[in-house]
Amino acid sequence: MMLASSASAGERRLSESHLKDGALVHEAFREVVAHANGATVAILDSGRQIALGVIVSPDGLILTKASDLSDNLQCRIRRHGLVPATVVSIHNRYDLALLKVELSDLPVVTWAEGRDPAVGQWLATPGMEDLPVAVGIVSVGRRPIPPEKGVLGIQLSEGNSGPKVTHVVPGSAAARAGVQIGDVIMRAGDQRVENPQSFDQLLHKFAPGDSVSVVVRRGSKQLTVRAVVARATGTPQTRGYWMNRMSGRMSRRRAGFPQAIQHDTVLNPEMCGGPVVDLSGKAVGVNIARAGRVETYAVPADTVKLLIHELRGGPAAALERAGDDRVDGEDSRPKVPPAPAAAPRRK
Amino acid sequence: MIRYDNRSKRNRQRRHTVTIAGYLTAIASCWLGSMAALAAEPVTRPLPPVIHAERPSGLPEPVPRSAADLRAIETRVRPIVDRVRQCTVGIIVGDAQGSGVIVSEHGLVLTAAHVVMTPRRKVIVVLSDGRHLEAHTLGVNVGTDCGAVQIADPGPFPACKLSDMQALRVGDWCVATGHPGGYQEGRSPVLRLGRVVEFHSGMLHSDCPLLGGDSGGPLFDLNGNVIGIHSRIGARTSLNLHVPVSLFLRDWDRLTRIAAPQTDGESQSMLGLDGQDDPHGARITLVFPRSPADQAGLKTGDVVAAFDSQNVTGFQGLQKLIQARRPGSVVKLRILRDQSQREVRATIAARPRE
Repeated sequence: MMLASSASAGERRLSESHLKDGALVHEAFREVVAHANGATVAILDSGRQIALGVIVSPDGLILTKASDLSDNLQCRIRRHGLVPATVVSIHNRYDLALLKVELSDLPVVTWAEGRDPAVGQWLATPGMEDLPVAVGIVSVGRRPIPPEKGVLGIQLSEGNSGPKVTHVVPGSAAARAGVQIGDVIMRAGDQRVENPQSFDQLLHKFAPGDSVSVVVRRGSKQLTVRAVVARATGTPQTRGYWMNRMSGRMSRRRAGFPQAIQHDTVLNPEMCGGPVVDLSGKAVGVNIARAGRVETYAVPADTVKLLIHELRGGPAAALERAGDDRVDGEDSRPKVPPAPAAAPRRK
Repeated sequence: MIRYDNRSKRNRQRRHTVTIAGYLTAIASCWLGSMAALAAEPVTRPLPPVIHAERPSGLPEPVPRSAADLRAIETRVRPIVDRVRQCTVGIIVGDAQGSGVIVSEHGLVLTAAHVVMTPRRKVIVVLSDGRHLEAHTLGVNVGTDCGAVQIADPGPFPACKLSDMQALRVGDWCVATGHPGGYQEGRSPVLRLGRVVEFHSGMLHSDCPLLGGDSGGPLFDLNGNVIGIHSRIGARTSLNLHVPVSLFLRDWDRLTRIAAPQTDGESQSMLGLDGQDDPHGARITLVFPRSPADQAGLKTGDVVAAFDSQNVTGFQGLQKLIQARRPGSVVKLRILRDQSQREVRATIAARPRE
C-alpha cells in the first residue's frame, strides 16, 4: 500500500503546531478545559492507562468506559496521585462503568444544560495535562449507532447430543479461546444451546468486544472457555479495515450505542471514557469510543446524567449481562434485576 | 481504490474513495469521452456562479489564541453548516460508493473521476434527505481526478457556489462533508473542520480527516464555497488531499458537456498521449505506457506536426483528428524531435471502457 508523501515541492506549508489539532490551537483551549481538568482522571490497569474518566461525586464515584476495564484498576487523580479503584456497576448498553475510589471532597464535573452542542461547534477533550488531549467539532447530531454483528468463527452441525463444532476458523475468536473441532456446545453466555440456530440467535445478542463464556463437552470432559466476540467485517480481507487501521487504533467496543454524538476529534482508545466539553467549558458528553479515522462517539450529557442515576441507584442499576436488551436503536432503560446482596464486581 | 464490505447483501457495496497513492507527478489530462465528434448532441452548461472569495473577516490569524478566537471561528462555521450538508450527495456507481456536491440548482454534481470512472453511465445520487435519484456521469478526467454527474430530475436543488480560489491562503479554515464509509440511512453528511495545509494548481492538502466513501465530496471555505473535491488520503489523519476546484473550472466545458447516457457499441479512439499546443502542432507531454503512441516510439517532447498529411494545429486539433478515425486505422504522423523530422506510423486503439 503506497502512502501519499508529504513533500511540499517548495510551496508554503502550514506547520504542525498550526494544524487544527496542533499545539498552538490547543493552547487557545487552555481556559476552555481549565475547569473540567479538575474532574478528569486517568484509569490505569497495571500501570498502563486504559481510559480517562470523570468524577461524578465528591466522595469518589468516577464514570468511565466499561469494556476495557479489568480487576486491577487504579485512578490517577490530580493532587492525589495514584489510588486503587473498584468497579461498582456497569451499564452494558452504553458501555459505561461506575468506579469508586476512597477519597472525599473531589471536584465534580459540571454538565452542560439544555440542547446538545450543534454540528460545527468546537469540542475539547480534557486529559491529565493543562492542555486538552485533542480537539474537534461536532460532525453529526445525536443518533443511534447500531451494533455490529459479532462472530466467533465456528461452524456447527446438528448432533445427537447438541450442536457439534465442524470447523474453527484459524485465528478466530473461537480458535483463540481454544474451541476444537468435535466439541459439542452445551451453553453459551449462561444459556443452554440446543441447536446451531439457537446458537446463532444467542450470538446475535453479543457485540464485538464482548466476552462470552462457552461450555463445551469434549469427549468425556466438560470445559468452559471464554471467547471475545469479533466483528464480522473487521478482518484484514476488507479494505475498510486497513483504511481505518492505518489511521490509528480504534476502541474494541465501538458500536451499539442507543444515542451518540459523533465528532471528528482524533483520540486513541485509551483517551476515551472521560468528559468532552464545548467552549463554555461544561461537559456536553462522555467520549465512549474511537470508531474510525474520522469518527469519535460521545454519549450526550443528558443521557449520561440519567445513566449515572441508574448506575448509582440500587435495584435500577444495570448489571453486567449478556446483552439481552440489545435492541437496535432503542433507548430503553435496563430491566430491573433482583438487587444482589453486595455491590457486584465485573468478572 | 475499492472498499469491500462483508455485511448483508443490501449493504454490500464497495466504497470508492480515498485511494491511497503517491502524489501525481504531473497533471495528465486523460480525457474520457468528452469529444465533440460523438453522435449525441453536446449540451453546453452555463458556468455556475463563481464567487471571488473575499477572505472571511474577523478570523484570528495566524492561529486562535483564546476562547474568544475559537468562538470567532465557530461563529463563521455554524451558519454554513445546513447549506453545505444539503448540497452534499452520495453517489452509488454499481457496487461502489462515493460522494459529490451539487453546484447548480439544475442538478449538476461535481465529484472525483475515480468515483464515476467513465462518462455517460447511469448512477444514483443520494440527496442529504435520503432521496435516491437517477443520474448519469458527464466528463471524467482520470489524470486530475475530476468528474461530473447530472441528476435526471430537473430540480431545483440546493446548490453551492465555487470559489475561484484567488483569495485562498495556506492556513485558511475549511470544512469537509461527505459520506465516509458510504451513505448511511439516518446519518447526515459528516462535517469535519480543518485548515488548508498547502496547495498549488494541482492539489490541495487539508487536515480535515477523510475516509473511504468521502471521495468526490466537497471541501468548503468558511464562506461556504467549494474549494476542493476529496481525492486521496495518507496514513496520518492530517494528510488528506483534494482536487482544487480551479481544475474543474479550467476544464469546465469538457467536464460538463456530455448529454445523454452512453449507448452500447460506441468506442473512443485514442493514441494514448497527452499534450499541449505548440507553434508547430502539438507537443507531447505524456505518453501512456503500452499505448499505441508508446508502441510507435513517441516520446515526451516530440511535436506532432502532421497527422495523415493534415497539419496539426494545437493539441485539441490533434485530438479531433484522432477521434475522427476508427480504432484499428493506421495513421501516419510527422514528428519533430531534436530539430529533425521523422515519420512514424501508429494504430488507433479503442479507449478501454468498464
